[in-house]
Amino acid sequence: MSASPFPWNVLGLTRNATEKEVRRAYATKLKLLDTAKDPEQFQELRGAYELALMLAQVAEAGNVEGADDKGIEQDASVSSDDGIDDFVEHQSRPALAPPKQTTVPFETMHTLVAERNYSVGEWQRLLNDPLLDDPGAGAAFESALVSALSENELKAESTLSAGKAWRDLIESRYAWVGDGIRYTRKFPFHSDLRQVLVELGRSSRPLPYSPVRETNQFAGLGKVVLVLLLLGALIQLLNKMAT
Amino acid sequence: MSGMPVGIDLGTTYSLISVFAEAGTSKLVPGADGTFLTPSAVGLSDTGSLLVGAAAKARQLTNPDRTHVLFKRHMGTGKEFRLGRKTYSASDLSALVLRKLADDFRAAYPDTAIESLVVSVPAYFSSAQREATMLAAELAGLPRPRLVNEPTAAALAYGLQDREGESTFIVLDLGGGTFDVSIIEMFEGVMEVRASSGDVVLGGEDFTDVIARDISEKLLVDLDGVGDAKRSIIATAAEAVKRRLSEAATAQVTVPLGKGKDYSLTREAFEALSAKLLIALRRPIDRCLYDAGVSVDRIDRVVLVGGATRMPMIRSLAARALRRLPEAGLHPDLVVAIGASVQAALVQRNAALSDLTMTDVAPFSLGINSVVHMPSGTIQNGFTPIIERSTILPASRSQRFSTIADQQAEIEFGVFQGESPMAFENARIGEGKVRVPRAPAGQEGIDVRFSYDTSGLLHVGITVVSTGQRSEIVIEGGAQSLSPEERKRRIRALEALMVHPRDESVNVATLERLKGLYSMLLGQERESSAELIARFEQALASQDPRRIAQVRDEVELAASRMEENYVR
Repeated sequence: MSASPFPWNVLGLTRNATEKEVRRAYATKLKLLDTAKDPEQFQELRGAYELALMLAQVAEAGNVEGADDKGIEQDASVSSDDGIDDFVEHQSRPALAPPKQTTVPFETMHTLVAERNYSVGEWQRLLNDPLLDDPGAGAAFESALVSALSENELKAESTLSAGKAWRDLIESRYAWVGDGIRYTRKFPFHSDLRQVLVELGRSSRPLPYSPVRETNQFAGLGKVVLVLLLLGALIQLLNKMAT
Repeated sequence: MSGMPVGIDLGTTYSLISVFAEAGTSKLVPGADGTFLTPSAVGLSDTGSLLVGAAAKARQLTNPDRTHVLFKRHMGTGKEFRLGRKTYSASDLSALVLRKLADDFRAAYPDTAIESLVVSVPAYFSSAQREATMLAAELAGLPRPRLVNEPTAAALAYGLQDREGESTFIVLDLGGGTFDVSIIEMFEGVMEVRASSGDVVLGGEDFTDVIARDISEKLLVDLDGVGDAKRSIIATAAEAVKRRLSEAATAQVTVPLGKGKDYSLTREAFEALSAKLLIALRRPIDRCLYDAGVSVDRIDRVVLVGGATRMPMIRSLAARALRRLPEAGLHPDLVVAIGASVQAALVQRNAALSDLTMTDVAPFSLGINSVVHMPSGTIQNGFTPIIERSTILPASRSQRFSTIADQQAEIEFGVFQGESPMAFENARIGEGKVRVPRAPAGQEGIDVRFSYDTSGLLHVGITVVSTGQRSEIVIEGGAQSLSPEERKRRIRALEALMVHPRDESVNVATLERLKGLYSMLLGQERESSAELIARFEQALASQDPRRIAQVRDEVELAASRMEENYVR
């Protein structure tokens, strides 16, 4: 191939390729590849594509003048603490509408929480409120709800007086327990709320998104003896570049 | 014998088969009764032979204890279904449905082999559920299939119409038993699934159930206490009400309990009853947008798939949550099967599709449990994802883990799937155990490699770092966990089952449909349905195929009219 360095050499491009060129080159190469039969080659192509695309986007945004090797390192450091997924998310995060904290559902929610009212019927109506359909308002509402629950009863009593039905309703909407990785990233300072919800759900049937039957989940845990060496996806990529 | 790419939509309530024809388009294959939708139902006839499809579904009302439906919800579990003296797994029952579809294919395309087979599964199906689906195909004597996610298949059917285009679309697939959301970006003939999310126990059947519960509450029947027969009468009435409310603002039925009890429901009341389900539908939509890193403003098209998306409340939820009117250019019941055969053609590298390619993602994170050291402390039984959700497939990732105790001789861990940082809060799908040389803590280690193929199946390999010794982990409940002998035995056992002949099944279906109608109707109408039964039985007794076919068409038409009038 040409004398261009990684990732452009894999795509058959020169280093200042535009986003459009990168996408086109990837599409052309991908169509020639049988991904099922050749997963390794696909991984290489995909890795090169993602990096080249990111560099092209950054270059086009005017942050980097001519993507050189230094540019790669700078970009890598941005994302190395939370991985590629977060970088993508961060990069194209929707421009949220300013949260309308004063609208009715927010007030209703604060009242219910203050009154320790966990009536499933009232919360059902609240969660289906059309005013929360706006993605910005919906996201703000989720954050406000986490804060309200943590600030109020939880702070005073270290628990919630809510029943399992209320807990299951909240879980079916937000999956704070089931999708704990997202919760922890989004609300790193509210792990106690999640813990309380875990306790409240103890007697619950298997969660809807973990369909696999619960076979002796606790077997063998005592012997589990491993230490984790964290290697982010991007770091692997960098390693590959180094070789 | 030439080969053909074939796609199968193995649905919770209905299944379909389609082929990718020479002309470069997909075609659905009809059954012996001329329809494309085969009910995913298996039952036992009065003579002891097995009924599959419409005939079994029709008997559900009259013989609920000898009919099984919705078994897809139990794929990959140990649940057993009893029919007569034998018991069947969900894979066995699915295999019978697959075999019926394959028979339809052979009837339509004699002397044609299946060259590449693709079976669709919910995007949110776990590895075990996918393995169980592969096993079903094997038990049916079909070639080893590739799997495609249902919303991806739907997107392929839509994408085929506009392959030059550049757009981002979201597919909401609410089937009988499952809900899937996928966001797909299309550019330069590449269909790239950005993220998938869903709920494997949320579907149209849950909305029917909400009505069934309301009927039993209003009519003072204890739904859990009544027998199978009454329960299936209530369920049938509920289904009819649900369908009616997709077209009209109110629905009324007379439920044949005692002398007949009237029940009515408005669209608004139905929506209020479904509040919990609507809340649960929002979570996968939110999460898919979050995972894809796509804002609502960047969505160009909203595509609705699955029969349950006909419900107006689903359409309005989609429109409100995504701020765009959903489109339904293709038939929501058929589009997944069409897409599955497109994928089969892609797998075959069909020349007509050389300008199109598709990539999909892992719907959930997969990893193992381990002691996780973090700056803030140590988690004893933490979950370490090796392949994170939304990773593009195929993917192969490896991570190194080391011993934590001095003189440790063995490393044992579980394979988990899920999104909780605590391992035990995720689903355990397998386990690994490997011996390592004794050494001080942290000196010995293993590389755990997770490979996730394009069908969404997981393979786990372990390598001991110091000795280079390799081993593999088998995922529980799947095709891989069966020994070759066991597999052969089960294929033979299924082959030996006496299944009702294909042509006769059509007549059984008609007769059972009439009997079902009889049990749902009262008074004058009930008598009319009894007359239809008598007429059809007379025709059957004549054993004249032409006369039977003619009368069958007539009574089917009359039955359809009576069914339409059942709900007002």
